[in-house]
Amino acid sequence: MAAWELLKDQNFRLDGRKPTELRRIETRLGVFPNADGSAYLEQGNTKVLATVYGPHEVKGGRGRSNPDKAVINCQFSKSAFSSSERKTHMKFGRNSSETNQHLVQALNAAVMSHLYARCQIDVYVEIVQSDGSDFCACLNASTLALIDAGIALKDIVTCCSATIVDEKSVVDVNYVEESSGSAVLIVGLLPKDEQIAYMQMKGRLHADHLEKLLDCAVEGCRNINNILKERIGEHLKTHSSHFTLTRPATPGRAERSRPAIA
Amino acid sequence: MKETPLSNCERNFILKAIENKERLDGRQSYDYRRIKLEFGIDRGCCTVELGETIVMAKVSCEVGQPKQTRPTEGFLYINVEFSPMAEAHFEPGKQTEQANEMARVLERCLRDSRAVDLESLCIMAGAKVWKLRVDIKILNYDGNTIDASALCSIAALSHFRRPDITVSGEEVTIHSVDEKDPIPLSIHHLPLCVTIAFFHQGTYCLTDPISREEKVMDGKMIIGMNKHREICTLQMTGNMLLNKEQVLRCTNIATVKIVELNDVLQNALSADEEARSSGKPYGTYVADFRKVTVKAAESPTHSMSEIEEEARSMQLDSDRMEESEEEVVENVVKNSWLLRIKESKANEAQKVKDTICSEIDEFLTTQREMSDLQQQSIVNNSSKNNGAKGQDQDAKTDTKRKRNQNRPKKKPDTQSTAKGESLDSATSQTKKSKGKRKGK
Amino acid sequence: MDKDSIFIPGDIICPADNNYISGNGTVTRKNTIYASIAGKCNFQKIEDGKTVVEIRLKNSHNQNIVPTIDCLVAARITNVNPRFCKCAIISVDDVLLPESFRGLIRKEDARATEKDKVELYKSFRPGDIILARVLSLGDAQAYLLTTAENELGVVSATSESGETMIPISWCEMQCPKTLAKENRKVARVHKDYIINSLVTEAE
Repeated sequence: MAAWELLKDQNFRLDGRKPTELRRIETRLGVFPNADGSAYLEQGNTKVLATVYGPHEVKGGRGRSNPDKAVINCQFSKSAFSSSERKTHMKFGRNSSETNQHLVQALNAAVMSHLYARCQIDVYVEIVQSDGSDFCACLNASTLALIDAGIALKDIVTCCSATIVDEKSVVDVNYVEESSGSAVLIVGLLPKDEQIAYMQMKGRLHADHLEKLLDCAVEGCRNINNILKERIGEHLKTHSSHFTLTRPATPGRAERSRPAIA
Repeated sequence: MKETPLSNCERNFILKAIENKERLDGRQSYDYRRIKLEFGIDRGCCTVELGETIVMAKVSCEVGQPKQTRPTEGFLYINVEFSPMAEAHFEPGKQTEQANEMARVLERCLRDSRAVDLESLCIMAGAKVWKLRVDIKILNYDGNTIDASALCSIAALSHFRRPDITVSGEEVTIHSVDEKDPIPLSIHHLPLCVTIAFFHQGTYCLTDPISREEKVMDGKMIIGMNKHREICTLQMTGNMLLNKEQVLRCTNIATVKIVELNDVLQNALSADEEARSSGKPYGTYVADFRKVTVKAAESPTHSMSEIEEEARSMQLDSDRMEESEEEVVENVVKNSWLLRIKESKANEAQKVKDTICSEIDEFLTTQREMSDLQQQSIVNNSSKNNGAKGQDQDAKTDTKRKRNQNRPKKKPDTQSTAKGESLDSATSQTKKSKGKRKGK
Repeated sequence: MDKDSIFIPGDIICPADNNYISGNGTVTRKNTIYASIAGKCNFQKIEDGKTVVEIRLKNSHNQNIVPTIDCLVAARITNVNPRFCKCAIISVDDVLLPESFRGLIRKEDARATEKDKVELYKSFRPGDIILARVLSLGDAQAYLLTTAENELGVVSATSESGETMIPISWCEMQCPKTLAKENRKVARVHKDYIINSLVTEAE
């Protein structure tokens, strides 16, 4: 589809959004009772499920265990019915293993893995419906699932995509905009310190436009961060009746002094 | 075999050196190692040596059916193999994460940025298209395989010629190389990759990390760009956090390095074309083979003098860059220029060394012929005499053979003093240049 | 700082001066206490007059705890070997783990005295519940545990006849039914924690 169609006059995109407008985000935490943490996220028509198991003992070989920090294991899967044409995606193909690696990289930046030394945290992500910005939705859903599991995080990781259409940067690309062939930049951000944990660009973009595109993506991440914080707060408030105080408070592990051996 | 991990003292040493803006091989922060690009006899075969990292790429093509969703587009497959030749801990056949990552980066750089025109690979829409396959093999691993592979694969694709075809109605005839000249691929632009490694939580960054630096780094940023300053791919890997300014600084560094890498590529391509069209010997393997039997030392497939001129013109161009980046850029260019001067000196020494080697080979062959003749005469003598005496004779021939082998080493000194002097000085020169290269 | 306010990872709770110590679910960075998990904040005063700041998850049993060095664990013996015995760690401090971790007790770590004359078969049997302390993270296979303290060792064991045994001394336990004595490395549990009803029944 030609680029000029994507941004009509009066600056509206094909789905009626303004260039800096995000799609509607719906979230639900604690979707699966079996998992330690789970989340469901909708970004427009892209629907993603994420579950977290852990921290538990490292499985699958002695080589994987790390005595300094936790090993995060991600498994990304795209359902065959997720795109408009039914297509089985290879779970262990090149694209999936690349996405797995990138998810691990982005989550490693957020998880305080030194607290879970010698353990493994599993994150399973499934794309139920795909309509562009799949990776962004996956990363956002994984963060929510980790929060639901109660795993200590430095900061939540939010991810947003952006592209340039008609010299204007456009945030949160959908499938049509993605497949038009323009350059798409995906940024995973830790919003508090505005540090980029993950970045990837596909397509061709002139170096002069990079700053503009980066700013747009970072702004999108910030907005997603605000939305997610709201949703997490709402979820916790509705479930706050379960807060129990059975244990007396103890100072944190770092502050605890070594007990004398009898 | 398992990889031996880097010891803590090595790690601390490398990190401390980087803090003092020093690298293990004496390079500056943004310097590349010596790059050598060579093509093979076959079209589409290329070898790149980036310091100690050696990467080989080969392009091949076959006819196949297109995708149903894209009936007029051909295919470009990229396959990366880390051979156990490169390093003992690479397992044969296993598709590691590293190889996967590299293949995906190259796919994005070459295919998704539309460097190769896939529509031109169409033979018959919906029925037959060309399937291009780039097979990259890492022959020796010393870090920064992505840059080397990107250079190698785009060079191989530019070098490659696909068979010519004629379509008559429903029939397609693929002409062999003898019938019709093969035609080059339609390449829109030449994307190259630059890897920038980060240390000390993103405070320091270096280009072209060697494998030891890679083991110590926090993470790296891979930028694929062409000489028109269009970014073809951008990827951050590793556990590090960057801010916007660092990202933009990386793209500026990449812009400068891409121009240099592009020069190397263009020179190599033009030198190879020249060699092929003028009937001179071309291809690395042919040149090496001929060195032993033919006396004349072959000139390398790309000349260094042109690069010096280009570096000078590039330095003039770089003055036009932004003021904030001027300082950085100037240093970078100066250092690379100095490196090229060093390289040209080393090459001259190499040439002289080659001539010495070929002369030594000649002497050895002549000596061997002489000793063979001597042996034959001795054998004839011994056949006349007793068997017991023959044993002594054999011992004598052994000592004679040993003496003969020692002789060619002495001969060049005695033959002509002038030559001997030049050879001695040349050997001492090569030793010095070798010392410089392998210096601390 | 309101007690009812919800915190999300990365949120600032309060400055880390002398009065506030970071507890569970919080982390101190640059003189400020940040939240590292999502939940309600809880301020609790301890003996020195200081306040411990911690964040509680919605369900207390969901707390992600992992064995760390020097923490007290309860484990169930699975294998006994002349050199070492393997066990499954079921709880850390007093939090029950959803999934057990593997632990290992070496022969020399079973007792504090006469380490070379230890016979592991006389100290532990498969199925015993023990209290141990984590010595080190061990290797990829198992955590390294020790029971070389008076307070550590077998807490609960069943005899060959199937009855829960009563501890007699630091090295013997007796079955209440058959009155047979069995060798175990018994933990000296504080008397407040012993369920007296069990003892009186046996008598």
